[in-house]
Amino acid sequence: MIILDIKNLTLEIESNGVLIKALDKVSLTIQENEIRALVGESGSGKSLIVRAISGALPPQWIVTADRLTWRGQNLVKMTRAQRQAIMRRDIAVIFQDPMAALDPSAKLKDQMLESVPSEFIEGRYSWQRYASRLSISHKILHKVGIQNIEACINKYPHELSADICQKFMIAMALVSQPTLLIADDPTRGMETNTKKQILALFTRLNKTRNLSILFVSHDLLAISAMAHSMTVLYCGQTVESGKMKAMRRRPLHPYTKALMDSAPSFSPDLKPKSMLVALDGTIPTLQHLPIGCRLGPRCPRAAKECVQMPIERSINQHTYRCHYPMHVESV
Amino acid sequence: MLDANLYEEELHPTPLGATWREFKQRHVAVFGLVILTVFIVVAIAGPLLSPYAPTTQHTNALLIPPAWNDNGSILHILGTDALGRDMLTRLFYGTQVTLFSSIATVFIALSLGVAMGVVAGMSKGLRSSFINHVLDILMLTPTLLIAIIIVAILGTGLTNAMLAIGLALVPRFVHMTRDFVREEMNKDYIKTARLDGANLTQVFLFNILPNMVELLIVQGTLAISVAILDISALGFLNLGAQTLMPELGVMIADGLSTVYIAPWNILLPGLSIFLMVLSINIVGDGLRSALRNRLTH
Amino acid sequence: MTPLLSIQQLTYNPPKRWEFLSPRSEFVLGPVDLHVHESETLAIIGSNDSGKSLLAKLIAGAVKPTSGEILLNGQPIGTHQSKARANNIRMVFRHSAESLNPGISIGSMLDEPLRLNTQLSPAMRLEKVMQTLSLVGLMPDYYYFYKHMLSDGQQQRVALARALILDPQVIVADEPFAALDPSVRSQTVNLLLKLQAELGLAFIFISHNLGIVRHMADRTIVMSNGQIVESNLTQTLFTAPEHPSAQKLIHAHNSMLKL
Repeated sequence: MIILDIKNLTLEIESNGVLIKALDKVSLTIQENEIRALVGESGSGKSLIVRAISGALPPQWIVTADRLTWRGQNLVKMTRAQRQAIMRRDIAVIFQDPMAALDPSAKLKDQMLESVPSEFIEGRYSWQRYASRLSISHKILHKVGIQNIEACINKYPHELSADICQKFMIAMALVSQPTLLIADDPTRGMETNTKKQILALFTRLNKTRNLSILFVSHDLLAISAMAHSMTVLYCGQTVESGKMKAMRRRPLHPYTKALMDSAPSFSPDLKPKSMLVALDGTIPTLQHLPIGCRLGPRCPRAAKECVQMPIERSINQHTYRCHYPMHVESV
Repeated sequence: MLDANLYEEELHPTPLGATWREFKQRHVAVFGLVILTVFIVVAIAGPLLSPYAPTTQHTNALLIPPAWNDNGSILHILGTDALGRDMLTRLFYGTQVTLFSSIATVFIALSLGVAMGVVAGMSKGLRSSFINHVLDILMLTPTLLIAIIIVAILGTGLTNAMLAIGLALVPRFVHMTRDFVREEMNKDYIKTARLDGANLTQVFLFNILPNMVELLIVQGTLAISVAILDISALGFLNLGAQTLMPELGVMIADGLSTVYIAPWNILLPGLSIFLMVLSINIVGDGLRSALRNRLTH
Repeated sequence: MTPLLSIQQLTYNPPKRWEFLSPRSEFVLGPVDLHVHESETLAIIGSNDSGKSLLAKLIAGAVKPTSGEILLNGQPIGTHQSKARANNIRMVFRHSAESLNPGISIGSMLDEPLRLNTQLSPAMRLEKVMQTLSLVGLMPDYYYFYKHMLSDGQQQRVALARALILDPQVIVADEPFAALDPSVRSQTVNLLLKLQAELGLAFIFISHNLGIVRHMADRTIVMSNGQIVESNLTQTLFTAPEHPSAQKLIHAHNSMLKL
């Protein structure tokens, strides 16, 4: 069952008298129990999508979409209060750099106790409620795999390592028992051991608690280890979307292929110290967006048609937007 | 010879150019700048254009009101004071004295303060933090008070007043420079400069100073407004410039005895001081906001 | 063949500083031995508090070691700042908001090392700066640009240009790819490979990205707690790590590769 359905989401903002489309007909779906990866480099608009879902966009942005629904309810048409209710209970968001996201002046214990939703707390008197909060917190911290809970929660964020802080952030996000966890680049800058632990945690949570995860990142190694399906974003346009295995084996869009090439681990036959296959040029800035397919100027397969935005096609649930996709004989 | 792309230059000006562009957008600040420019022009060119000398006493034209009054005369556009000295001329000379002495004072205080601050900022340890704490105590006292104390020791006169106010302003410059330099020294780009072999003077002149210029301009501008007030105040109290000199504060003090019959003797110099300080503060404030916002646009 | 750069028994063990009547423990590193040959790439990997950054700074001369020798082409060079060192071993710092000076133009940034370390005339310095800019793939216009006009990848190239401008023999880089997007990372990797082939540079870099390490480095050393715990050819290390820390890292990396 589809829980989050975004179709043709367009985000526009006015800059110097011109309307700029920061997101151009972006489509994304998340099923129940699915881990979907949203891959994009800087300037692709991944953070904008997260903000559009959680309703945290400043009012200057013009939002248009064919569908932007959560469990069938239209997110755009909702009142602010309804939106906030959904955000509080059903969707949780965690960010990169956990130590910066935590309050540096409060012990972890206080932050945790504060974030337990009042619906779950039992007891009439304040000491009963405190005990209830504490036990819920302990349970959830145990679930995310923090050892020595007592020792850890009595410390301040800067006294603990990055992996414990991130697990703590995940625990705080999970305490309201959400259906969807949006993780905005949570493993950025982490070393390999820590990254592996966090990714294993995500996989475990997905399996045992029916948690869907939207994992936003550009770390392909982390994504391929964990995600069931992937959506690739370039400069505000979704270029390819589909099951992880299929995309890794046969990327249809040149940009997806370029991303796969940028991680040498995916090409085991690559000779050491040989040149990596890379796209020329740089990501265009918002002020200089190309018309049509935005990869056009950089794409090695570009031709005349590419000044028109390609329509979305799909082969076996593998959708792509390209005039000249790879591995496909005729269009 | 290579040319930078003209269009690129328009979109991406130097940091100083970006500051000016931000500043231009604040109309109040530009207005303040216009007034300030008027005062500067008056201070430079006024004395050359004035019809009389500031100290000539026209004994047959005492306490004449400004020209728009019925009793006024066109010979003395802004009237005369109790000793028959022409108000307009005195204002011109007074602006020159007040403005230039303030600028000179601040300039000297800035140079001294920055030099001391740089030395304190680049050195480590107990000594530099001790200086900082002593300065903090000094900064708590109003500059005027410190200036009065110093004048009491050194004696009266405009030069002594300038010295006193300059010394009173030094602590804030030292503090500001020391904090800034200390923060900069920890940054990676300074470390690379030192790895390249730059000694401390070169690091300061080529790497820290370009980043500090705006801070100096803003703080210096605001310090000028403080200096103007203090010099006028000292002049008013007869501790600074003495009665014979045309200085705005002295003029106010002189006109105090005849305030009911000849209010313009106090109003006009007071208004000048007010407008000068106001315009400088507006410009300084505009500069501060422009600096904060310049790189985000 | 004598190695280009040879580090012998380098240690960092500063005397304990007393802070508020109790000794503050400083990180102890070493003794460390390593060597790099011409046109060779050495990667340093390890967990976050293993001392990798400190080792890089010791090699580049940003931090003064307590004891040990650094030999360049067999000749000892001073262990602290010196002209010979500045010219031959250059460092690229971890990319951060503070790695480039925001108040001066790119041209001045690149001119400064030349001005301080060479006797070239202003015209020759300009030519050298332009040459270096094109070497790292930046247009001559960038001479007049400021830091805030450049993207992350371009800033990284400027940092690289600043390291290259004195024609060094060794470049030490602290996590040069960490802050870059994948496409820019590929371009930077290709650039470094090209420069190494053209100029015969020895390249020492620290990274968490084991995929890039495996691709780029000839040899890899693993650090833990201030010591080098394993040092081997990259391919050998990745297929058969020996030390427990190395094994942990390699296995974590490999487990992410499996689908």
